[in-house]
Amino acid sequence: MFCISGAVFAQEKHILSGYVRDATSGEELIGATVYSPEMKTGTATNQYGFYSLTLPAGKHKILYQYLGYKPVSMEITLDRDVRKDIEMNPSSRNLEEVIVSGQTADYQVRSAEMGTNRLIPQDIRTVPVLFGEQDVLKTMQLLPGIAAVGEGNSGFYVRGGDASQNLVLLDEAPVYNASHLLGFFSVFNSDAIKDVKILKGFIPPQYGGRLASVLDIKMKEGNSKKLSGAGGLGLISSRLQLEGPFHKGKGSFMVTGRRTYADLFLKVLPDTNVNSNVLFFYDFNAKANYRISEKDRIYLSGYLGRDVFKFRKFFGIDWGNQTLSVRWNHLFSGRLFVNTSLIYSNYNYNFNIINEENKFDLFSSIRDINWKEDFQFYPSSGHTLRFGFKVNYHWFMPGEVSSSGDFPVNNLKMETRYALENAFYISHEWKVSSGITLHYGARLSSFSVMGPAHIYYYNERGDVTDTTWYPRHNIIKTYWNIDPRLLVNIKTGSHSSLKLSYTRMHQYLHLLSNSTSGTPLDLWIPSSTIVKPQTSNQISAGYFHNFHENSWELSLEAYYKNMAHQIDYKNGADIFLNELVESQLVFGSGQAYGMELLVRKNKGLFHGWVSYTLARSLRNFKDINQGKTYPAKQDRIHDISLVGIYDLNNKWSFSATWVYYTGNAVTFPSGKYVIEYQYVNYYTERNGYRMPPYHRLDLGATWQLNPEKNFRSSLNFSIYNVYARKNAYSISFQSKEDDPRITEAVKIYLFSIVPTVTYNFKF
Amino acid sequence: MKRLIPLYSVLLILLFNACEEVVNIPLRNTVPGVVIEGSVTTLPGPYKVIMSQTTDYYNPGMIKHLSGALVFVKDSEGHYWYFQEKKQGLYENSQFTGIPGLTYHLQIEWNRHVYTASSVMQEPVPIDSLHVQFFPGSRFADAGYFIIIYFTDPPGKGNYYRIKMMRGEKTNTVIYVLDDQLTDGNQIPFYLYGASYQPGDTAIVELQSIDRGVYEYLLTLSTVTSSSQPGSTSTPANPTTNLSGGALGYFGALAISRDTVIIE
Repeated sequence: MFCISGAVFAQEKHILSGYVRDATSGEELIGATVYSPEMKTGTATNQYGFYSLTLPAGKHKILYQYLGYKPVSMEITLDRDVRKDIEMNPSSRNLEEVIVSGQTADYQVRSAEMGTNRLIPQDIRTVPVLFGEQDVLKTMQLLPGIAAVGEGNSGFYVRGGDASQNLVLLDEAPVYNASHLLGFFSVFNSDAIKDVKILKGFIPPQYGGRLASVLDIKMKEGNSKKLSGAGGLGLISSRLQLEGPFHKGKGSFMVTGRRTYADLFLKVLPDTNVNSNVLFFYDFNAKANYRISEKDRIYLSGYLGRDVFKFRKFFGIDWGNQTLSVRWNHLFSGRLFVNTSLIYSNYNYNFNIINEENKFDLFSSIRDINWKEDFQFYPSSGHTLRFGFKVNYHWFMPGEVSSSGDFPVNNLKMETRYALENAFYISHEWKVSSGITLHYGARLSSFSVMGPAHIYYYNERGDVTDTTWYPRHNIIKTYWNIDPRLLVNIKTGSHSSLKLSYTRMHQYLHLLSNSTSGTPLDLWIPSSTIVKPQTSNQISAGYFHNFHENSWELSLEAYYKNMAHQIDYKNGADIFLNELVESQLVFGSGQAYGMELLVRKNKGLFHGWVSYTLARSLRNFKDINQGKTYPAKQDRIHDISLVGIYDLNNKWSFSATWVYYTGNAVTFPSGKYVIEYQYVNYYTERNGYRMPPYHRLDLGATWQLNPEKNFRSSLNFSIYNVYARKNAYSISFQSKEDDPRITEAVKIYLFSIVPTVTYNFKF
Repeated sequence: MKRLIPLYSVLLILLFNACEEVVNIPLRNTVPGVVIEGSVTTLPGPYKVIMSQTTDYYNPGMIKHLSGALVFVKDSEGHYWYFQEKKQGLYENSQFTGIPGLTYHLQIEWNRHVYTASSVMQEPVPIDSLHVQFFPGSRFADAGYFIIIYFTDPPGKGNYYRIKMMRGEKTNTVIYVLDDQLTDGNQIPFYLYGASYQPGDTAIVELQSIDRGVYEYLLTLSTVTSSSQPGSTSTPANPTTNLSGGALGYFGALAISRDTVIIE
C-alpha cells in the first residue's frame, strides 16, 4: 500500500511560480534563470519577471541566477502549488572578480533563441560615445550583424535589411522614427531603459510585421523601495530622472526628461544667418505600475519626443513620436500568465514657412491603435506555450497643406489611408530531451486596406488609367499570410550547442524616404493593390560555446535570407505630396547572407567583446541597373568591432572601442559629358563602387567621485575618433569652381577628433 | 519643395562644421556614350542639335563632338527640315519657327545607329513681371541681387515649366523646373536664388513651357547635378531621356516667353 501511494506521491507535480526582482530597486528582472540542479530542469523569467516551473512534489533546492547579481539558492518544499517571489542583490564590485554577467551566461548555449543579442544598461554606460550621449542604438551597432547607417548615426541595418525593416518597440508600442537630429541621436534616453533585446535571426511567432529584426526595448518600472533619481549634464544635453514608490510600495513610478541645447551655442556666433537658427530636441518618458492584487498588476507607460528646427525666419519643421501603452498582467494560476495591452503610437511632422503675411503649413502623420492579448501557459515541466492575438488599426495621413496670404500653393488634403492588421500566433517551446530543445510555431496575419479611398490603376509609364472609389468601411484588399517559425537546439557538449532555425516574415507597412540621413519627412504607406507585402525567409545555423566556467562566450552564426516585393524608386521619383505616389515605385527582390562571430569575455577586471561580420546583401530590380543584380547600399562585406573595458578600481574604469567596416556600396560616375552648358556625370551601374573603408578608435574613462556615498556622482570623459581619421560621410563628383573642365572627387567628413566630458549623478 | 532636402543638409554642415577635401577615387573607364542635345522653339532660329560623346571622368580635355550625322526634324503636319553640320557635331536649321500645338520629331542617323525623339510644342505662358531683390549675403552665398519671376499658370493641371536665366550672353547653369500639381491656376512668384547679379548687369529670364517628357528629363537632370553637390544622399542615375536608341540627352520643343531687367 505504502509503496503504491509512494509511487503516486512521487508522480504528483506542483507548480513553483513567482516574480524575480532586484532587491535594491524592486525592478523585475527579465531572463533570470530558475533552476533545479537535482531535476536538471529550469526556466527563465519572462519579460514581466514572471516564472513558472513544474516540479514533482517534495523538497527542492532552487537556484536563481541573473546577470551581474548574486545567485540565490533556496530550499523549497512543494507539497502544493507554491508562489515564491525572489529578490536578488546586485553583485558588489569585488576587485578580484568583476562579473559582468554571472553564471547565467550559459544562457546563449541553452536557450531556445538564436540571432538574439541583449544589452543591459551597464553595457551602454561603459562604452565611449559621440558627444558623451549614451545611446542604446549606437552600442548595439557594436554587435555582429547590426550595422550603423552612417557616421555617428543611430539608424541601423540588420542582416542586409534596410532601416525601415526593423520593428522598434518601446514597451510594446511601435516607434516609427527612432532618431533625433538627422539620426545623430536615438529617441531612447538610456536613463529610462531597463532592457534591450534585438532579434535578428530566429524571431518567435509573437513578433511580426517587419522583415529584418525586432528591437524590443523595455522601460524601467521605477524603484518600488525608495525615492531615487539620476541625471547628467553633458556638452549638448542634460537629463534628469526620478523614480520611486507610492501607496506603500504597491506601485512605483519613473519619469525621465532630456533636452539638448546645441542651438544655444549657435547664439554665440556673430553671423546672424547662423545664430538665428533654432535646433533642439527633447524626450519625456513616464511610467507607473500598480499591484492591484497578488495576481493583477497594471502598467501605464508613455513616451513623448520632439525635434524642433527653425531655419532663420524662412521655415520651421518639428517632428516627433508619441506612444502610450496600458497593460494588465493577470495570473489565472501559477501555470497561466496573461497580458492585455492597449497601445497607441503616433509619428507626425509639421513643416511651415512663415513669410510676413503669408503662411504655408504642411502636416503629416501615421497613427496606430493596438489591442494585444498574450498568453503564456506552462502545462508541465519542459513545455511553454505562448499564444495570443493582435488587432491593429492604422491611419496614414500623408499630407495636408494649408496656405494663406500670397502663397501660390493651393490647399490640399491628401486622402487618409486606413488599414487593419490582425495577427494570431501560437508557439511551443519544448525540451524534448536533455539534449534537444524545440521552439516552433506560426503566426497567421491579415492586412486589410479599408475605404474610404480612391484606388488608382496605372500603366507602364505611371499614368492613371482607371480610378475606383471605395466608400467608408469597405475592404479594398485583404492579404492573408502564415509565417512558420522553427528553432532546434542540439546540445553538443556540456558547454556547447548547435542551433538551426527557420523564420518567415511579412511586412505590410513600407517607408518611402529618398534619403538615408534620417530626415523627418518620412512617409509610411500601407500595402495595397499595387504595393504587395514584403516577404522574407531566413534560415540560419549557429554554434555556441562557453569556456572557462562561462567567463568566455563564443557564438558563430551563418544565415541566408531571401526577400520578395522590395521597394525602390523610379529615377527622379516624386514622393513628396504626391497622391499618385505608388506610380513612382518599382519592385524587386533581394537576398542576404553572411556569417557572424562574437567572442565575449564576461569576467575579470578586463572584459569586453570582439565581433566580426562577413556579409553580403544584394538586390534585383527589373527597372534598375538593366535588371542585373547589384549590391544594396547596406552591403558591407566586413564589419569588425572591438570593445574593451578595464575596471582599475572602484574609482576609475577605462574603455576603448575600435570599429572597422568596408565602405557601403555606392554609385559613382564612370564618365562625364556636357549638356545644358555644364559637365554632368555619366553613370553606368548602380552601387558599382565602394566608399573608402571606415575605421575609428574611441576611448572613454569614468571617474567615480564619491563611490561610497548615497549621492554618487561621476565624470565621464570620452574621445571620439582618437586618431582623427577623416572618415568619408559622402563623396561627390563635381567640377572645380574656377575651371569646370576639371572634375574631381570631393569627400565630406563630419568629425575629426571629438572630446567630451559628461557629469552624471545618482541618488 | 524638392529643395528642402539640400537645405536640410546645410544644417548638418553648419551644426557639425563638416569639412571638405579633394580625394583620389579610382574610377573605371567605359565605352563612350552618345549625347544629343537639341531644341525647336517658338522664337526664330537657328535651331541647334549638338552631338557629342561621354569621356572619362578624370579626363580634363575637351569633349569630342560627333560629325557626319544625318539630322532631320519633322512636324506633325508632315513638314521636313534637314539640319546642316555647321561645325563638328553642331547641326543647324533656320528655315522654320515652332508652332504651339504641333509635335516635333527628331531623327538622327549616325554610325549605323538611329536615335529618335518627339516633343509637343506648348502655348507660351507670358511673364507677368520680374522683381529684383537685394540679398545681404551669408556664410553660404555672397551679397547680390536676385530676381523673382511672376507668372500666371493657366487653369488645369499638366503645365510644366523651365526657367532659364542669362546674364547678358552667358547662361546660368542652374536648372529650374516646376509643375503645377500644387499651384494650378495661381499666380506664381518664383525666387531665382541660384543667380546673383550686380548693378549694371542685364538679366534675361526665359520662361519655357515644356511637355512632360522634357520636364522629366530636366527634373532628373537637375537632381543629378544637385546630387553631385555635398550632402546629397539619394542614389544618382542618368536622367530620364526622351530619346530612343540609347543616347543620353534630350530633344525639346520649347515655347518661350522672355523678359529683361537691368539691375540698378
